[in-house]
Amino acid sequence: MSADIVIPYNDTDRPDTGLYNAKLGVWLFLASEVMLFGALFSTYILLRVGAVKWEHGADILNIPLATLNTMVLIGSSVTMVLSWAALKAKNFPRYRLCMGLTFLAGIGFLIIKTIEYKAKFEHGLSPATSTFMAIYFTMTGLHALHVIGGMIVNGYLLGPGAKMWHTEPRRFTNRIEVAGLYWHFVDLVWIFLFPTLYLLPGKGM
Amino acid sequence: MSLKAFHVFFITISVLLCLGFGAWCLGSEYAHGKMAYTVAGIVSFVLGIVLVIYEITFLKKTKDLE
Repeated sequence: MSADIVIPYNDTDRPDTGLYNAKLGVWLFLASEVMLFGALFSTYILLRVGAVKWEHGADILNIPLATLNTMVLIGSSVTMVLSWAALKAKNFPRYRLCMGLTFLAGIGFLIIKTIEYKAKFEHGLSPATSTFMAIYFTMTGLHALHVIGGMIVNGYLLGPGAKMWHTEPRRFTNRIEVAGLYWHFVDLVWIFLFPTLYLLPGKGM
Repeated sequence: MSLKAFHVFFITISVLLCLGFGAWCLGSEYAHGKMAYTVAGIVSFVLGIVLVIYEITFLKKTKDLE
């Protein structure tokens, strides 16, 4: 095999789809993620409709912390898109700053989530407590795992992966766009989780 | 869909959340009459307006970005 083999469409759009390879791949992946979280939201609806009693999230969950987390994630989506825009403007130092802030926001989100989980366990609330708590831990736990996954990718692109900027800047910029699409999806899931779990009123209590 | 388009969609949904959360803070039975929630409701509406301004500015500044 020769080292001269070039993978087509890794920095140019495919003529048949109008997307470069990585963007096509990430959208297919995100479609599977929509099905995963869609199934969990459907589960939530079915469990809630079938339950005689359902807790009001505001009575047992920490709304101020969740609101803070929502703001952290919205802010991180802004810094994420700014890091991509910085690369488009060929401003690598600004990219590092914005991506670094995105990474820090991810850490901040996880710290706040840990504080919230710790308080729940200290108050004797676990997935075994009720159906509501079970679906709460399942959905927010899976979401937190997705945040960790995004942070691993963002951390790589901020550290060792950033070398690519000096050899293949267009391809590296595409990688940031793809990572940004995933990060936005994870943020979007939280935007739906927050009102569903924390704000919707209970029933039969 | 590009990151730019997805970002605009995300910010639009965030604006709706801010307005919805603001309405919840000011109008829901749970939060009714609690000073902290009244303040949170007003802050949420303000954040919603800030996000709209940000979105318009973002669209203007990234007109050539695709």
